[in-house]
Amino acid sequence: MIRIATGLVCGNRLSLFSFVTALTCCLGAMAYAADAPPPPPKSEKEPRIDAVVPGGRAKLEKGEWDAVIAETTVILNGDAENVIALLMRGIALNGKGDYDAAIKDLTKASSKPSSDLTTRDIRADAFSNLSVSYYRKDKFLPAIDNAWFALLEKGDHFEAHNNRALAYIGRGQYDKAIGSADAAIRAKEDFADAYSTRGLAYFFKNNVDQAMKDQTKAIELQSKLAVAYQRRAAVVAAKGEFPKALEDLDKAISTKPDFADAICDRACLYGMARNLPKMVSELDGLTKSNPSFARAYYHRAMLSVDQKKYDLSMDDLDQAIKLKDGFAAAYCLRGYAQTNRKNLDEAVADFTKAIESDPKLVNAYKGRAAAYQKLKKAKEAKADQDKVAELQPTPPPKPASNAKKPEDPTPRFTVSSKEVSPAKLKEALKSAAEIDKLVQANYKKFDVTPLPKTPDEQFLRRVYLDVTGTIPSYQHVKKFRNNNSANKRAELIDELLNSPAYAGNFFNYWADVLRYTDNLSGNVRGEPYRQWIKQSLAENKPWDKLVYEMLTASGRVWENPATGYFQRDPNMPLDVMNNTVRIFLGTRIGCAQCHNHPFDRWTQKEFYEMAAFTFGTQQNTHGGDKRYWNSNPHERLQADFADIEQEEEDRRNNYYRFERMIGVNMQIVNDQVDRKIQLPANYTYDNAKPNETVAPRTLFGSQVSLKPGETPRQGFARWCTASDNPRFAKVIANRLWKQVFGVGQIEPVDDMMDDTVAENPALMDYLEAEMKRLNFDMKEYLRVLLNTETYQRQVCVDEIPLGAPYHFPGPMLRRMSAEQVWDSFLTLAVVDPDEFRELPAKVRTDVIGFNLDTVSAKKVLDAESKGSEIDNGVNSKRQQKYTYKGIVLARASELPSPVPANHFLRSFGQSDRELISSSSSTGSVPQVLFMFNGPITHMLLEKNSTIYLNVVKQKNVNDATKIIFETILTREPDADELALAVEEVKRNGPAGFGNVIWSLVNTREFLFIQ
Amino acid sequence: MRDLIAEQPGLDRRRFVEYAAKSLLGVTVFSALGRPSISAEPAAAAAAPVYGPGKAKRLIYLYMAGAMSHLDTFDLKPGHKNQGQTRAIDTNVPGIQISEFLPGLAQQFDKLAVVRSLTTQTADHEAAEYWMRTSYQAIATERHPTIGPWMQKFRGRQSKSLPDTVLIGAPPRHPSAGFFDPTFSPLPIGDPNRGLENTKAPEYLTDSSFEKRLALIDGFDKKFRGRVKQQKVQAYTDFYTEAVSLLASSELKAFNLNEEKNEDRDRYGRDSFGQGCLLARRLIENNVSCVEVNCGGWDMHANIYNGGALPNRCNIMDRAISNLLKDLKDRGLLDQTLVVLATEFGRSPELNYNVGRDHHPAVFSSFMAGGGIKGGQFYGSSDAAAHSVETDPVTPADFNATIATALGLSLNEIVHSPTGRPFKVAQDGKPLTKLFS
Repeated sequence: MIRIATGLVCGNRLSLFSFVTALTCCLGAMAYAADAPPPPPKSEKEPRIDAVVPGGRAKLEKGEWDAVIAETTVILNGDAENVIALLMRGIALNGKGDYDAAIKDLTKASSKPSSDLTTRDIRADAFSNLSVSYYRKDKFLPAIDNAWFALLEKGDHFEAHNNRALAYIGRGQYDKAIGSADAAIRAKEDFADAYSTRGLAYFFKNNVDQAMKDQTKAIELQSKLAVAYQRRAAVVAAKGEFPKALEDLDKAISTKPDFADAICDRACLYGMARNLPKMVSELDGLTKSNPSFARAYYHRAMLSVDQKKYDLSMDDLDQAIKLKDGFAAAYCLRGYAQTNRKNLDEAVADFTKAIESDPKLVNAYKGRAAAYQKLKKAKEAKADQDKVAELQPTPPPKPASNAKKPEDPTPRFTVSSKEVSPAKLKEALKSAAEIDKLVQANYKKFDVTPLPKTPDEQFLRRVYLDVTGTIPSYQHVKKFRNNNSANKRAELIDELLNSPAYAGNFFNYWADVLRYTDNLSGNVRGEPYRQWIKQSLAENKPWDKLVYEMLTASGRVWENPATGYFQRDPNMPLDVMNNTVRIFLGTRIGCAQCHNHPFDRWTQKEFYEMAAFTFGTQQNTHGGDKRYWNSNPHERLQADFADIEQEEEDRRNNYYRFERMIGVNMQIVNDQVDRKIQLPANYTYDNAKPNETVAPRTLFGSQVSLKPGETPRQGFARWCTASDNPRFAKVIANRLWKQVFGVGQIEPVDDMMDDTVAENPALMDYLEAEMKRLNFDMKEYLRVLLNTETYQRQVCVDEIPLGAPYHFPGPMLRRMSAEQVWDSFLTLAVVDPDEFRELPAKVRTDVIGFNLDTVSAKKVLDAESKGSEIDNGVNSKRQQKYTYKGIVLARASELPSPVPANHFLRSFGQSDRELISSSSSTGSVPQVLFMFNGPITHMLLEKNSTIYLNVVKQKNVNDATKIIFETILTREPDADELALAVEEVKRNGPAGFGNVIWSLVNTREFLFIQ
Repeated sequence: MRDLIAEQPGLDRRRFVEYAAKSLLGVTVFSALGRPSISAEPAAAAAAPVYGPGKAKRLIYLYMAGAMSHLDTFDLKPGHKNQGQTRAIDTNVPGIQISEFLPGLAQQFDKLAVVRSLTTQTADHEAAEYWMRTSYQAIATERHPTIGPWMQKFRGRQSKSLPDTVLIGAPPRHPSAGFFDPTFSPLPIGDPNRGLENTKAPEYLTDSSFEKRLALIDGFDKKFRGRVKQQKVQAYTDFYTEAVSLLASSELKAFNLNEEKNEDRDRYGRDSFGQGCLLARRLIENNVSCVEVNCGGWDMHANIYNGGALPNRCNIMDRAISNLLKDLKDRGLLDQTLVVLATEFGRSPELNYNVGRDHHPAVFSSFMAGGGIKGGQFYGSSDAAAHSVETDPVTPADFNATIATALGLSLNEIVHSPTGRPFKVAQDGKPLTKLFS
């Protein structure tokens, strides 16, 4: 407003621009005065209305308010609950401008509880008219809410949609206004008011063409719609077509002679035409005919200010402000006048008032900043200037046309690896030799002929797959071939164990075992946990330590990521113990959950005694938990939430988001040590009674005596991971053996019983002892296994009958895991398949984590929106670059867990993460279809695929063909194969290369690890 | 590999059938889908339906995910304050009314046996859905199979080239084949409009070049396969053969909805459920044993009437299923095809303050049709407020036992999971024998 006033003052005459803007601003101030006639009751209700008040509908339509009020009052004196009479009187009171009384009647009419349709129609009308009452009182939020309530009762209530649209305009929410007006038009195609409302919203969005169209359409539909002429006048005035604007305003006023806003607009238009006397006389007339119309005083004051008659402007401004609560523009103008009258304190007070009414009024901040400066209050002035800058952001500089596009700054989660110690190699080789000796003892015993040593290339492919989860690239093949060191195999093993891909590969394995899902309990996301697992593997955290951390972790998942282990199974204390014992101790006690174990020795009571250790472990807390909060944060935040000024519809929608976010922050793994487990009510054995409380007791090995301050869970974890636990070391030693050799010393790896005998007990004992000697150092243990002669032998190609013992003449032939197939395809297709990494969990958790004792409800909601933004915006944006035909080309360990059921990985048997170790490596038709025609196969044949780039560098067909074989199968073709491939290429040219590539990835040899 | 194609028994059989049909029946055009010719239809239609257990050969399982409101579909309580805005309309069975939002099914009611006394034990979507699909409560240590894989378990695989069970639009958490081995895994179809993915060869690839590629695979892989004599490698060779046969088979077209006329596709509704039902019909016609089609969006807590959610959802369901039933009937397939509509629980009879309904496990409705089921009846009832079961309570296990009975699957046969636990197709559910007579 100051800007306009300044324009008026400096120019000393009314410039075109300033007046157009003035008019726009006037309209802005006036929008809520725009005259929406109270919706006439709809015809189908006519009989009901007329039954209550004969001729009532006609009287309402004619605006005979007093008659309606008198007649309905008589009825209501007899029957105070008559909803139709209440509704009619409410409408009439609105018509008379007695909004408070209208609100009383309409509120009563709208709150009669009944779900029958008639009452609900009436309720809808009552709410819609309530919306009008509030709107007229400039209370836009309740106006919006009541319109929405009307719509909840009756979704196609077009007046309610329109009222809501007007109220949105009042609040400056033009897009929402357009949406509501659209809905009104959908509900009633020939609804002129709604077109006009929408036109107004477009006008404020500076979409002059659409505004023009809508107002014209409204006039077409209803030639007597005065507001449409008045609003169209503003549009044509903005286009500079004053005569047309004048014409429209004349039409508006002749249609509706008491249309104060139109008269006022016309006065302004005269002003724009430099006809100041006419402007003044119109405004003078208006203040006489309609003395309570605030805008007239305001505009007259504006003229006085323009002529620097500040004193003269004061009376008019006082009057305008008196007449209209929170008239921000008037306060602002008075502040300006006061500044010029050197009443600086009063000026500051006025600007402050203006800001209170309209916190986005830039000119009020500007004006106050100037006043503060004159008052020598530099700090306050600066604050206001900052606010101005914030509200009027400078447009971003246009990027220079040839400026380099900045690199995607989105952070990637990468692990930092701990390397194996060169000093320990000698020891490892000694252990490897010992293992070979023990294996060979069984060769003799069972008359097994060991298989020959693998050729280098076969070893290379196998060890790459076993340690890093992918086939080697052609560059790796070349490098290994050119390495003449006598220890090149051992060197390669170390190199691969040291690479970050080791963590990704073993993450895939453990994600299957641990059933890792990105969604943990209570809307908590698992990324901190998953990244902790990867990092723990990369830094080679000893297995006992890693497990101890998972089993004992407390807190929120982003404060203590290892809590993800317990967050996986919320409120399933029995299942958690069952899974824990199976995963880490290789023992299945699940059957004993419901009855004594039929195949093993565990009793139901023993199961409960085991479960007693972790029974008190909870995944969430509640507001009343004194250990975590000073006062109940839930209650405090709910009260705070109720105080947020927001639409009721938003309030209800936001409530779920709000609650969810608080819930996420209350997901804290904790121990309630007093929570005791009881046997089930249907307990049938005679060693205890139903519902009897049982104390923690271990299944096997030593008993746990809790140390001071130790929770039962900590005691359990200590027992579970102890070196002297009879199964802990054995299980991990056997699991890793199986990962390397394809079959365990004990099978299955997680179903050991007292009488279970390993294939080679002496070897199993040695492996267990090694695991302990190495202090559960998994990389070092794998290093030992990979350096054995046994591992480096060729695989057994004969059929091994089901259940027959396998004596390790070499490793078992295996199909690649789903992840190995996928990652190997990436190695063939994508130039840098390791470039894409998941988003560091911290990016999200920094946003969604807060202190529940101090956070405000508003902050909670903001946190939720920002969190969703990261989930939906940031993540999908960074994936775009790596997406090919709808799939993200990233390592399996970087993809969601679980991936959707129709993903390549799932088709090849990746687990859906529901059950422990449920991945599979059996074939299926969809797998073959993926190999034949899937997007990743297409990618292989694209011009920028890795294999394509390798091939085009070659000078002749023979070399190119060899490279294809080496890239896909890690070996050279033999003479027959070379001839076949070369013939194909010679016959079909470049397409022939494609056919050879396609065919090679479709061989069984590609899929199976030799 | 080329020989493999020629040796396909499926192809030979089809050629033989086509030949036989042409020469013996005088039919000149035999639909690619092997659908009976027009002349065969009246005979099939004229045959009186035979009710009784064990008549169903195939199953179409329509799942209303999110919990379908019983009060607004099949279990109306006109005049009761809980009814909300939904009005009752007459069906083609005298004296029986259902929701006004299901005009199509109202005209097919003579085919439906609606169970109005289902009851379950949890109001949690995932848990109740699991229960409904498997008859068992979800536990963390075991996964139970759904009905399609059970059918395959008992009856063996039905089609050489097509999978036995197809899931259309199923959520990832679907229990699917449960503890059965992966050969029982249903084939998931995400978008029915896209059908079976990865079956389309690149455009530059002609049939003969595809065959050439297959010959190349054979050439490059010969030595490996000669050397490695293991079952799991051989199994892959079988899958390759099967895939090639599927790609070459005319049955593949069953997955392609573009083969349908536009007006037929419109008739079912162009939404994913409508197109899913149409795809289900095509697959059933091609001897797929079990097709499940999911229809989400039933979890309506607010503004269900005026917001349009309920009428829209009902319309989607009504249009698709009534057309499906009509087509199955017209093609003479309804008697041998059991059509089941299921959901996880009902919705609260009292409208909440957002004019919506919340979760309500105490009573809910579903239906069965075709496959030996006698239509035109209600089974069980809820009380006046639609709040609890009044007569003949039915658990998810009972409901599934009825499905199994219609399909002729043994309710008592015990199958052990790999962990050694014993399971039955419908746990201890009792079939609703009244539905068959």
